[in-house]
Amino acid sequence: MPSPREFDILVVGAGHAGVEAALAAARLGAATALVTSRLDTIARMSCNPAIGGVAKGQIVREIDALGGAMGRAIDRTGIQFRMLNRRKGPAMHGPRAQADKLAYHEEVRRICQEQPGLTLREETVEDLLIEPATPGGRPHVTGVRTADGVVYRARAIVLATGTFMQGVLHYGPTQTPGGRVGEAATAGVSDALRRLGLRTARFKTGTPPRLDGRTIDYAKTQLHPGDDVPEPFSFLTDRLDCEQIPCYITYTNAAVHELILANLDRAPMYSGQIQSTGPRYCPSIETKVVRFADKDRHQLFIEPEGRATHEVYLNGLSTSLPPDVQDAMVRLIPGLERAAILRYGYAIEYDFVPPEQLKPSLETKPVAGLYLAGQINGTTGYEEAAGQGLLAGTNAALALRGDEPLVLGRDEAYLGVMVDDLVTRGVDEPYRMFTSRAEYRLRLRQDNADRRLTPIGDRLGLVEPVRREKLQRKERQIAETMALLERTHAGQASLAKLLRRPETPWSDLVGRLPELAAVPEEVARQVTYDVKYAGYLARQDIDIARQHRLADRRIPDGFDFTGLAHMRMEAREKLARIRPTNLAQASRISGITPADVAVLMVHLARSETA
Amino acid sequence: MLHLDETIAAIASAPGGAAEGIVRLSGPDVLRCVEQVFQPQGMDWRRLAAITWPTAVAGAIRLDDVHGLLPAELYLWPAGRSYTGGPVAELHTIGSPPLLEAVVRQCCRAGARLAEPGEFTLRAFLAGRIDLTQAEAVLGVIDSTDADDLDVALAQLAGGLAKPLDRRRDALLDLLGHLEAGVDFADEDLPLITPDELQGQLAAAIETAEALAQQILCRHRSGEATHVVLTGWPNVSKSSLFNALVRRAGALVSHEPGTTRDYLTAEIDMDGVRVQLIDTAGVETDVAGSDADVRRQAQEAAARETRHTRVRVFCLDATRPMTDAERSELTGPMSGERLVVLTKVDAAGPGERPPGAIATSSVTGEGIELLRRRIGEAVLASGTSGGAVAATAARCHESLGAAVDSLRRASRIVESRAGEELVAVEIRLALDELGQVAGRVYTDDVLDRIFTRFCIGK
Repeated sequence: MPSPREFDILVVGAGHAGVEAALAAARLGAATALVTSRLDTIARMSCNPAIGGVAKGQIVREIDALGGAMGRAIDRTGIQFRMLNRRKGPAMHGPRAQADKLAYHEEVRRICQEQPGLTLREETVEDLLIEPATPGGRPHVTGVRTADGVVYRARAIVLATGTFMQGVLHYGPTQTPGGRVGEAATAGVSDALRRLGLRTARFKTGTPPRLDGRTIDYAKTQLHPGDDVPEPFSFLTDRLDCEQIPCYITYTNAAVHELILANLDRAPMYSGQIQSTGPRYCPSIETKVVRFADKDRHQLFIEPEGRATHEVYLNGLSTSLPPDVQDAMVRLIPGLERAAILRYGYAIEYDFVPPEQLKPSLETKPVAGLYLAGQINGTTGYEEAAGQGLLAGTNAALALRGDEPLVLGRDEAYLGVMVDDLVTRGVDEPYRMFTSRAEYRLRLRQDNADRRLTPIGDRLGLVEPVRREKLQRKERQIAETMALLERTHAGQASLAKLLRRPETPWSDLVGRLPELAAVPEEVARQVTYDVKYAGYLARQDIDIARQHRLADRRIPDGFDFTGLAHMRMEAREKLARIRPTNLAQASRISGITPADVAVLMVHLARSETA
Repeated sequence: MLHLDETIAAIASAPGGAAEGIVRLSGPDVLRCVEQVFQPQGMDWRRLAAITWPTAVAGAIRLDDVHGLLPAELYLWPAGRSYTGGPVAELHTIGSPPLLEAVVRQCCRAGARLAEPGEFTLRAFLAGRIDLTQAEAVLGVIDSTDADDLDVALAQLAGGLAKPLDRRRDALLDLLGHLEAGVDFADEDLPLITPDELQGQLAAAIETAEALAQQILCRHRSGEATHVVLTGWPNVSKSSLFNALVRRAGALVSHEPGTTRDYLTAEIDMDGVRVQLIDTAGVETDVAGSDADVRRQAQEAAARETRHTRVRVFCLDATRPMTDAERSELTGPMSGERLVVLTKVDAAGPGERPPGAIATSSVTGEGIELLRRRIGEAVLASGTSGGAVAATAARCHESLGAAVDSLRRASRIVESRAGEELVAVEIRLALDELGQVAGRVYTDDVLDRIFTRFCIGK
């Protein structure tokens, strides 16, 4: 029996990133501990009570295809499901669900408790323990020390501390240290990281006020219901039977905007109190009012936080204005005239580690065995965090086995796009996923995440056998249906050719060949999308092949970028900082020109022949 | 292989005697080499080694095997301030070829080596000082055989192509941004771009790309039409292809006098390039039968045309497997440009298709437009005019053509309301092609192109 404080892998932080990291590591057979300051807040939704969305929904499906918990948990605890962008093409569809916050947390905790090889611990980590570098090597993590002075040993550590590192909460001019409302910040870890030579910087994010739903006059708002036939997130969930709860829509107006402008001097973002960068795309209401001055109203979603609570989330009114302004502001909004605020909105500033200091495996460059995942890497969003967690936990476990890390390509997964963006380009604002970040998004669809990733997960041992079997059955049916469409002709053209036409829906084919009615819906869907996108996918294949050829030109570990003769100084510095692992990655670094890549290629070719 | 950290030297002035001659050096050891041939006046080497700004100094050339000093000026550019990015020196002295050669030789004894053709330019490109079209233009200037070529080359050097392209690329990037915002922020009531605005922008981009493509072609209209010959075994449907190409062009077809089995010609405008299109009798090695003489004559005529031709279009029948003779023709040696075309694809099943072959049907018209464009590009690439200029022109024309195709497809998708994500794919592809023209976008063939063009890597 090993010591209760000795593990293969230690995951610090049990938010969405930490949970997936710990589960993945344990699934791969590593003795794993998940350490958090409060076991009662595992997988807590600190901000909006929702999972998914455009691009984020694709990530959840990918996490699920690799055996992660997020999809299953939201399927069991969702209270409203909608497929966004339904009117657009299939690559744009993004599943989104409102969650019962408390139920979600309990479900994820249950999954963690049931995972063999995973231990939960309530501790606050204050310091990292390091074994100094051997000559020619890197220093290596050996464990952590808690606030109480207890030492845990591990061969690898995944840090997923979210907004807790040096977190500061802003309510108007009032500032209090904290990692989230009601919870203390941690200080020691970011000091330890800096001591190890990692740079930290600060970001800001915010949340809107929460209201008492019983004080809202819903008659003055618009109903925003879920889908009639809700679609599950997990490939293991066959159907959803829950009763759905609606959301509501209301709007700000000129009076609200005037009030905000009159109080800008008390908004920390404008008074100079917060210097950090916040996200551009989910900005605070004060930023929206200033930046989009010509808009006379902004849309707000009223979202329930659960089945057993009256608390509702006012999506779109993120703010750090002082409480008295928040009270006045809310009462100017239709339907909220008598609304009671349960919790005030606030902004939070926190330390993050600029992610170009990571390898594509999410291990830090200066310290061996130390992996970072989630908001600590400058991202925002539960889904982005969970995706990184899954990869970091997987790679920590693979490294202990002596295996190559799992690095997904930009043409394989949104997760691949995200990690490549983070480690290659860094972040200058909190990073959120968009479909436009994925140049090959026509193939990175939410509906085919299992076909893209489950085989990879299966090879590594990340997914349950049931997933593999389900996928194999589906692939077989897809192949059979395709063959049937190819060999059945309607007049001159095969049914496959008919389906290729944008105006032909699947139902047309069923009319011509009744036996197609027996094809399961998800199979019909795959066939339809594959056929309709085939031309575009083929055209992108040329570019993908080109990128692969470039990626095949590997840059050896320890390559001396600073000594590259004839390269622009700026380019040399950039390359030395990012340390790309191949020419394709080098060519994606911002500010690196084709000419720089050419020089690099010349040197590589020479060092290969030398 | 290319060695960028070596110091290179070459005579940089025009060949033949002239009033002034220039020897240029570039690389880390420039100063050490120059010290061996030059004596500065009123300036010492320590100060010259420390310059941070381009500097000129008068002095004299001193050669080992020549008695006495020759007046000269030294121009020095420190690293980061020069054309090539590295330290550069130029010695300006009397334009005597033997003298200049002696200076270069002596620099080489001090550690420099002779520069390859275009190597200074290559270094400038690699240092990010000039873009790809400019680099190619310099080669064009070096290569240019007549005044027209020189004009084209100089226009490119001034960024003639890159600037309007960059502006158009920026506009398309903005457009893409708007389009993407509508997709990514599904739930926010963002002001979306209307289909009309989208069509307007696409039309403007198509216009720019076509105008630039046309500009390239106009610069390349030379006096004589280039010969383009359709070849292939009998009954591969060459004549139908000929007719399809000619019909599109609206030219008159004339039978050459002599024999019915001689060749047909038509002078047509192939996508802006003047071309003499020739339909030869089928290639046949085993001539027999009653009209063997007639056939032999016809084939001799065909062989003559084929020899004189710049571009050959080799036709294969898609409805039957390739013959051994066709296969060996495909893999055999050839001179000039060759395009491979599959005919009758409307009637063909799946079968072996040589890579790069253009699938056509004179019945349905499939592939005819593509073939016309490829012929135009092949004519440009065939070196009708100065090598580097023509090659650049062909490359740019190809990319611009592909960009226009993508933009047109984007426009059709907007019209059919098939989906913004598909419009975005096409705009991205167009951006990529436009970026390749000026070397703004990286592709691995950029390097291959550079290395072949610059005679490096042999």
